Amino acid sequence: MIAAFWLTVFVSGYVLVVLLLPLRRCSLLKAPLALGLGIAFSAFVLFFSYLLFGPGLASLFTCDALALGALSAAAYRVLRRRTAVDLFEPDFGGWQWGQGVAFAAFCLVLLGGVGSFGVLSFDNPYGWADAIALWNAHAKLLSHGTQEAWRGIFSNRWVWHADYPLLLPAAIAHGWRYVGSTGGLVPISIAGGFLFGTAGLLMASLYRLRGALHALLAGTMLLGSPLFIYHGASQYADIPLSFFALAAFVAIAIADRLEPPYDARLLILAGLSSGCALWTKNEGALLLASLLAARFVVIIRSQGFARWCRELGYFAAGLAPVLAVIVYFKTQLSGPNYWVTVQVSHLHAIGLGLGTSVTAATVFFGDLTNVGSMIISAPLLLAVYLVFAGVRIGPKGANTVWSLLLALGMLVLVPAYIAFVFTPRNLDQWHRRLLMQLWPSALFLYFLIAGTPGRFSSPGVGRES
Amino acid sequence: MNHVEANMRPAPAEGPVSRSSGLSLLALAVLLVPALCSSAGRLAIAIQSHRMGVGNGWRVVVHQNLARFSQVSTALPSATVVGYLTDRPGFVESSEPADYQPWSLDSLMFVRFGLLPLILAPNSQQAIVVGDFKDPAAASALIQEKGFRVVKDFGNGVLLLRREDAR
Repeated sequence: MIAAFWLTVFVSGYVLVVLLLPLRRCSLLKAPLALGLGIAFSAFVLFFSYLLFGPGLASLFTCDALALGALSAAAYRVLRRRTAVDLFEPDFGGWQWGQGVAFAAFCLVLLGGVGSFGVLSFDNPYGWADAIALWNAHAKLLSHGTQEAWRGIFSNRWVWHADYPLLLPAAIAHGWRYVGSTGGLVPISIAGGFLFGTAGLLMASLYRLRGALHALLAGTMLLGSPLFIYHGASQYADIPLSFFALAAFVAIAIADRLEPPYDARLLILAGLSSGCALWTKNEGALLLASLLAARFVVIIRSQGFARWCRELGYFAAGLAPVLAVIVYFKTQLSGPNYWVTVQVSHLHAIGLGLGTSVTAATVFFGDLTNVGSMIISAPLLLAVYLVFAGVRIGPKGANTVWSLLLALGMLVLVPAYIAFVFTPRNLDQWHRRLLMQLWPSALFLYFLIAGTPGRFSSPGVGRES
Repeated sequence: MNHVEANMRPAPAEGPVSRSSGLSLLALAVLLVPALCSSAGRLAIAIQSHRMGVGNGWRVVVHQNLARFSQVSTALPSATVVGYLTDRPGFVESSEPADYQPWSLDSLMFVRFGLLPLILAPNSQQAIVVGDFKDPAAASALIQEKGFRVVKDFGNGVLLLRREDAR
């Protein structure tokens, strides 16, 4: 039955992507997006099914069928209008030896990543601490929920972080309902879907925007980051969050390259992805705020207030349904948030002393320079590569680059740093995984900006960003 | 068809390997070699941990707890809150909500997971309590002292207890 679950996930995700991605010949880009959005969609269907009809299996299957039917009907209408466009011509000017080297390295890193993920997942079928105590625990409670009990789970004082968003637990519970048991295969496969889906999305988007070499280098750097693989297998929500953050950034990057009205659906996709990030982890709120603030600054400066209002309208259209679910969950089902209650009291306890800030800054910037935990500092490697490759920002990419740079800057420096300073727990290594939420997006931005080393800079290899 | 971007021209012909090629290859190597080494290192650590039995420690503990508590977890309705009584050394009862419980109770997460879909309150103040004992003598003394009676013995030190004065 796990095959049936994944078929439902992928088909519903693919139909959703067809609705929101008005690009022809972009199967490589559509596949990873379909995977992530399909998982998110399955979580929403389970939530609505429980909410409307209770946790019966028949009602879940019926809701799956109805949701897929409704999506397909909408996609059919959209496809009939033939509003899709080509982002680039698919002719990439031939295969070069530099791409061959990068491809070979990527294949090896992919093998290493799959191997590590496999061994780690075999040894820890329900993931690490937070996955066992939180995400999979909530999923188990949902999958065993009874008509009377399931609503009370999220305000139960004995459930750890009962108020945390439900995308991951609901998707896992959906899979478990299909399978009929709560084995490790469903959470492992969902974790793997997000891990390799994020790499796929990064590579496919860069392939369309910058060409094969950039895509292969980005994929190799991402899957060559031990911490990214580790936290993929840990079944924490950081990698799923990184997927939705990247999806929002990619949607905005492509929207910036299309003229109205073709950009509209991509802006809806960006709003939807940001909403899914918020429905995955509370940190998604920071992504949303940073993205909105960055676009406000960049679009008003470059294209004026009216254009920003238009963009905001489409973005909000994608965000609104998800936000409505989250607001309902937070106001009607869940209890108060731990971070809100604990952090406020903790602020008084530790104060805003200089010593604390300096310690936190030292640890934080130490972790920042070692993001991904590669054998050599990844930011240092990327900086050296930039010396060879140079920076190349085309006119159509300027808005994207400045928006993403601003958003990522705000996301990394402000909230992550605040979390370091005010955490009630020790400044140990658990904070490093917060940076993994943004690592794929940072690589996406980097390879949008990076040029191509001289010998490979023929057309089709290093495209205008 | 709306071609948003202009078509790209074909690549110019490549010349023989030159200094430029060497630099370009070096640029690729700057990223690719550390990524390859990091990936290989991650895989080697994972395999080594697995072989030494370090990596699969949690798999064993999770499955042990799932097996131990599987029967009691289905004996009560889903999401029932049950207390906890144990002779585990170092266990200290807590009446704090789960989010505020001390870190010393983190080790209980495997028991909590094994008991799902029952919800564990790490104290003996509930009407229904799960007993988790290693020593039968300690179990009966503790059960008497706390005023519980055994509803069912699931074996392997797992008991379902009810407070004597509870209906």
